[in-house]
Amino acid sequence: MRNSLSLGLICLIAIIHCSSAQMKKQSSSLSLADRVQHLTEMNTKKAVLRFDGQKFKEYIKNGPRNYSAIVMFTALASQRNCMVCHQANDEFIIVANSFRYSQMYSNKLFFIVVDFDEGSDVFQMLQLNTAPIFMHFPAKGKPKPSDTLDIQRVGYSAEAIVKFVADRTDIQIRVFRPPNYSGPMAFIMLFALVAGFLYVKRNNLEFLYNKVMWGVAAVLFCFAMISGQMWNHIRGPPFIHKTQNGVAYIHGSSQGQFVLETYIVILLNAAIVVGMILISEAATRKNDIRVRRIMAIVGLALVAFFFSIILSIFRSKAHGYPYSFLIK
Amino acid sequence: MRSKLSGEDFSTLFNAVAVGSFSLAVFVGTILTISGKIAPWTGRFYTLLDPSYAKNHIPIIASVSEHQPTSWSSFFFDLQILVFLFPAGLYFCFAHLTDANIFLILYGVTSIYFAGVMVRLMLVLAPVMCILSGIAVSTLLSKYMRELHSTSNVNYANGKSDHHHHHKKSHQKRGENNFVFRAEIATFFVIIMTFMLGMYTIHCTWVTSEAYSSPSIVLSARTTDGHQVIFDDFREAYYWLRMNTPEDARVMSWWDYGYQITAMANRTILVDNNTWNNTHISRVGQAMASSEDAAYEIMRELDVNYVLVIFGGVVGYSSDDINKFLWMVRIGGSTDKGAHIKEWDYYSPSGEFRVDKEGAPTLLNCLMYKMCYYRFGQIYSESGKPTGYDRVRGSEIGNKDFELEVLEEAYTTEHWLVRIYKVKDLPNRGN
Repeated sequence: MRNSLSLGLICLIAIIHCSSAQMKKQSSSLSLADRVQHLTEMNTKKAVLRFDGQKFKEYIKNGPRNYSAIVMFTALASQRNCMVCHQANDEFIIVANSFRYSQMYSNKLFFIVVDFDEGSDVFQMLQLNTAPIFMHFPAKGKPKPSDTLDIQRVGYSAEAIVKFVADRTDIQIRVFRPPNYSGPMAFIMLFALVAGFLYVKRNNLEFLYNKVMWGVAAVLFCFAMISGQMWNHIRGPPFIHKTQNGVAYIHGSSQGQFVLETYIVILLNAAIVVGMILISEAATRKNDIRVRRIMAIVGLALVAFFFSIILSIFRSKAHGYPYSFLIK
Repeated sequence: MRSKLSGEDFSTLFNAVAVGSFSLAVFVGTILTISGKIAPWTGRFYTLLDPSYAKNHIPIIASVSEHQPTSWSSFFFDLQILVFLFPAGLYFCFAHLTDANIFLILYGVTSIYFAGVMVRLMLVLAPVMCILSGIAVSTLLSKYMRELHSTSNVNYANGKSDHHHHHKKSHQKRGENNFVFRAEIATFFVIIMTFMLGMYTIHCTWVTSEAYSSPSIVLSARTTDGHQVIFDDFREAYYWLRMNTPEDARVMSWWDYGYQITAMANRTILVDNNTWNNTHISRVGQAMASSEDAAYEIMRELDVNYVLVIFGGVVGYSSDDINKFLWMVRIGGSTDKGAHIKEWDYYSPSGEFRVDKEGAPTLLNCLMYKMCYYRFGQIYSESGKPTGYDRVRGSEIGNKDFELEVLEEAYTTEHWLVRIYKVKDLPNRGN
């Protein structure tokens, strides 16, 4: 996670082009009461207010305020290709909604987003060249260095933002995450599919007694477990490991494994099992003796060869393992 | 009842009763679980059904080494050739479905799932692994051993039994043509199989001697010139506790050493390997992860006299408390009282867990760090390195000169593996 964060932060908007129109520095045309009213009205429609350069100057930069603003500077346009911005945006919206629909909702705090493609002049003015950035604009005075959320250190989860808001404004927000229905939904969909399938086939349920199907399913499941797919599911290792010296397919210690490595292990195990089945079939089948002899030889070769490969892979992982067969 | 009903009616009735009672049981079970009449299932149980449950919800279960998922290399380490004899055995069971074989298949498939989720459940898998692999080996060998015998008896040359009389003639003829090869293949197969079984025996002996034979309380290592060094620090420390502390002294340590201290030092401990008391363990984790002052309050609250930590920085023993520390932070932060303890505070700005100057200030000033590295900044642990060089983490520690305020060092073992501190009493005068 840490890696993805620092990668995402390289969504540098390095070149801040100076194309933005020269805006006259005008003093705020609206009175404080008007502005608060406008903001509140806007806020009834949306929890997060989307500001361009002009609005930012009018409501945040200039003039006195009696409200705090948490501003997220971001780059959500798809051509900016900033994955972190989108994740951070989701978290920000969760915080804003939690505040908007909570007991302590007031017009003392507003959540605002400024997109680089709409307010590049603001980025220039504040000398920002990365995204996303969370800044707090206090009710009085200018933002201090501590008014910027250190997402390198604390991350940008809703909880981190809430803690930051509580630190800076003394407003305690309880994060309310909309419950995630995707898991149960997927389960219900699957259940409905299976039930529908059985219903359609209700006159011909013979296939349920097909032992080949069950046999293949059981053996495949067994391969998946033995090759550590469950480990992959729980630990989430990388697919392969890229280093300066090239790509590592096999993890160097028995403590870990890569996803591709487990697929290789599945193939090796499957090859050995296929070899054994061939050997056994060769002895029981009643067809041409030649074919059977070839089956037996191929089966034997598969077993011996792939067993030695898997042994040598294991040997490379378990340091100090003394045994090998055919291959070092 | 059976005599009064026709066969069909009886089976309908039987099915109806079976399905009915099963669904009733499930229904009642669900209702009782939801209404809380049945005590909630424990986290370990949920972990088996939903493998990522522990990781997301209960760090104490995820932290235990025998609750880890099983990687392919640990399957291979424990089972070697059984790893691929097992699926082959499943196949042979499917080829001849009988009631016994169906039972074996169900037993095998369910237990291999459980063994995949938690490495300790390898024990559940072991019996059925042996049975299914045995089936595979015996099926294969019994087919080919017959071929070996056939050198003396042409009638069995192609391994056919007598009930193929009408085919027998032709088969015999073909069999005779390839007779030599058949026997040689069979011989070769039996040799390979014997070799693999022999290798399995050697492998298992090696695994037993390497992984399952040495006590974990006395450690041994080899020096570069081949001498064996014995680290008997654990027993030394426990013996010291037994001899030098009051009988009613309470010792705080991480729960891993709970049973050992109870049994070998005969002193009361706060938490032990029976990890059901999640909140209590969390409290200890909070004490270890807090600064000295905050930790002192917790230690007074828990009425602690001695604190024991395991430190491997001098000899390079890697499963020491600093390496377990992140779990203490996670477990400490998992309850309400420890909500202020955040894992991120213990990472350096670049997101790493490190103990040198780059490390997070929270880490460099927490109780665990201070107890492990007290006076360590003044000693040389490895030639050619500066003082305070931690041989496990491979770096020079970041906080060298500090004094302990609420603790005093009571005992440190020969190789610094175990360090015991005494909690100071409250000062006579308040400040």
